[in-house]
Amino acid sequence: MKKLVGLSLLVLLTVAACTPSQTGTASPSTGAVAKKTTLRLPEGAKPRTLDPGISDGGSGLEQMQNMFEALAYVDQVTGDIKPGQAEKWTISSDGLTYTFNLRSGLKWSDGQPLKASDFEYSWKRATDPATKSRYAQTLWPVKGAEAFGTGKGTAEGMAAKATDDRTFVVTLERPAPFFMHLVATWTAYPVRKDVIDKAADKWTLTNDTYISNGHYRFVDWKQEQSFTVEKNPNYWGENNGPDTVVWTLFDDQAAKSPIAYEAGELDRAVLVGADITRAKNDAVLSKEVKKFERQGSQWIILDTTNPPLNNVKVRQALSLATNAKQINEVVLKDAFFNAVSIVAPGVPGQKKENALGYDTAKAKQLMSEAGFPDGKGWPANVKFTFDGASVADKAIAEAIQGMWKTALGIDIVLEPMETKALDAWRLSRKTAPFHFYLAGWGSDYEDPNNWYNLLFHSKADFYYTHWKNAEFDSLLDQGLKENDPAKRKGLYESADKMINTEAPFITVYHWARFDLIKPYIEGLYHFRVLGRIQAYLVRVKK
Amino acid sequence: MTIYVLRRVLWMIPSLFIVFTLTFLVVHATPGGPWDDSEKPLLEEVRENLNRQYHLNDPLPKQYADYLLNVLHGDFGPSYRSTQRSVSDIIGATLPVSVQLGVASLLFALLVGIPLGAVAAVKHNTWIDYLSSLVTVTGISTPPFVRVSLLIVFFSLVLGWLPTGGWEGIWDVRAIIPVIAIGSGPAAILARYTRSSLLEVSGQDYIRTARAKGVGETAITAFHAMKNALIPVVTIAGVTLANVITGAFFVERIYGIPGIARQFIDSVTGRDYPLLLGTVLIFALLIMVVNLLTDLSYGYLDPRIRYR
Repeated sequence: MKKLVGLSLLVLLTVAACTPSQTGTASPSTGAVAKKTTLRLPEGAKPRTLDPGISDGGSGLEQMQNMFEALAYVDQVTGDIKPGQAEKWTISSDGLTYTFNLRSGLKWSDGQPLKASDFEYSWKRATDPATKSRYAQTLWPVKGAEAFGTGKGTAEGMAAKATDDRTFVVTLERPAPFFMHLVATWTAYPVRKDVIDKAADKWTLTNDTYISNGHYRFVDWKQEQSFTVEKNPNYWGENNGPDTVVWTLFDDQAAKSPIAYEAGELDRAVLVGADITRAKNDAVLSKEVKKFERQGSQWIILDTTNPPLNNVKVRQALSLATNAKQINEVVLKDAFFNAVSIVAPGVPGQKKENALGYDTAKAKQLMSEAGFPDGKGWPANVKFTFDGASVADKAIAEAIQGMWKTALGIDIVLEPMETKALDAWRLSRKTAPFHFYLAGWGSDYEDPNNWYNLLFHSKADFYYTHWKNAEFDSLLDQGLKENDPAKRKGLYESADKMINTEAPFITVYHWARFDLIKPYIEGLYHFRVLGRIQAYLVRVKK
Repeated sequence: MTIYVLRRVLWMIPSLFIVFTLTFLVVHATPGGPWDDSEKPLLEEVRENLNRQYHLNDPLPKQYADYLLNVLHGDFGPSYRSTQRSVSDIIGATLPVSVQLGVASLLFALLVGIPLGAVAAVKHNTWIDYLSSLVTVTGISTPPFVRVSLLIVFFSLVLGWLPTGGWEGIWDVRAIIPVIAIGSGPAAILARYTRSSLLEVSGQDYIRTARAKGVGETAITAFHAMKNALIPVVTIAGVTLANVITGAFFVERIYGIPGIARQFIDSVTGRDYPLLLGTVLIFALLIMVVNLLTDLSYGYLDPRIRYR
């Protein structure tokens, strides 16, 4: 036994002796071997999935957008719909049938020909409930898709058919003027049947099974470490972007990416909160800070059926007494954009003139008309619920509490919750009463349907404000079907006026992105919708 | 001896079963579900479909029985958050990383802590002792997430010697910061125990005898005093494994190491029930095994201790 102890001691000493010598000789490699350009970006650590048919468009979207292309795509500067894998498409006069003509000679990243039948397979796969998609509803406007997706129909019943190798015909349930935006969504990307049949869920893990059709293709995914792509030689179009793109995967990219950026390991960093102020005040970093618009709104959500918030005057008074400009510029140090109206600017239908604005005198008057002069008679225990883990949410809640107390003389109780507990609480608000909570929405595509119909229609009631207005609903129903863009915009503008006037939401700010970008990087741009980086537009001048 | 080990090993089975059951009940009693609902909630129909596909709508006793049966067959099920990897895949990929990091950190703790404590004891009440006290008290009182952050700032940002994060195996330079960050806490604890234990032993008769016989001071410390002084230290070394694990929770996350401790944190905050149960069972097993090894090591250090 003594020998054994001695032996293990010897092993220990050997290991100990090796450690410094090994680490002493190695040094961080700078990779000066090839002249090829590399773009180094940050990403959240766990792309839940890189399967376009499953993804909800959160972490992992940037990688998928760089590796795949749908029939059409959204131009990341103008927002226009441009032909992608389809060279053209025709829409029948009733707006129901879309015929897509694919480009000739399309190939997958492994060189295999890409056919219209690949789109048919992919669209049906994403809609199939067994695929467990987080974003299955994208293709529901297709005839028979919602039935199939909710287990009441079949794949054959879904009207998306490849009529030959280059023609893909889709029939809709009813006219949907926004349908081309859905066609450009990641859910509608083509995926390869043979690799999915072979590798099942694991097809996204290795480069022999991850086959795509976009500007870049898969090289390597080191779980929780990095994700690497290279130019796809089989892509139909040009790609003058960097030869490779490497994403470093962080658990908390807002906390870690600025450190890696400052150490020269990244070309871009994500900035939030106090880091924005720090970067703005730093001699070097201040020149590398960029602020981008992000089409989204952060709101205080009101339960319009729960007293005293069931009184429209009270809701209007609270909205008028909310100094959103001060919240963004002072409390949040200009980390976002000042509130304009309920729906974010740029969405057709949104009009800044429809907003109630900030006017404490008017707010006071409305409060006394509602029966709460100077806050007298205001009920106790009116609760304001928010994510206690979010520094920004806590600051907002405290600021609001102060503003309403000063302007209207009312007291509210702050109720912080753990993130996931808040999610569960929020879901249960479908039936349970509440007063206020903080939440937000950002465009998935720039169309009023993605806001008014999806969130605010009384049938959707996505945030459980329980606000109902028959005229509002009717305007939205008409807007959903109207093919004339000008008329359609007018319908939504009328609806926008109504929802702003009735104030089931109070906007605290509109979303933004802050980046640090190295001076040798050109063309790195976040479009206001989704806003992921398209590497083919970026130039690395180093 | 063999019977003792066998009995201890058999006792692990009901212990693991209790850990499994308690964890299962606690995670299902915690509010919130595994789907991403924070920034932009999922559509209700989509969430319902996910609950149905993953059998989360089944009655809890049925979920428990189904899951237990799977685990007994070695299948921890799918991870809810990572659609392409099962829990077994994730544990298989991350456990070896954490084990390497943990072993290296423990070695660091032993190789730094025990000599540091021994030197402080031999030179007690001199400036060396005071310096050692300063170092060890600092090590004990700073939590691992502070240590790793300070090390990153110093070595990566100020000096620019080491990368700010990542993992390329235990022999890569990226391992230096995490090993020091995790190992320095236990090293400090071991140093304190070694010092006090060695001081206590040094006062005993047999040491005085050795000294009277003319044995050199170094030999006395190294061969005579050290062996007896190490018994309490070994006890603590077993306990410090818990420190290494808890240290790894923070350090793996902050330094971006693809280890199992980071998975544990993510599975708690993400309500990834199968991954959480899988990692909890691994940690429980690990701690039980190390406790057993610690108990057995007493027998070698002190022949008076016998196991029945």
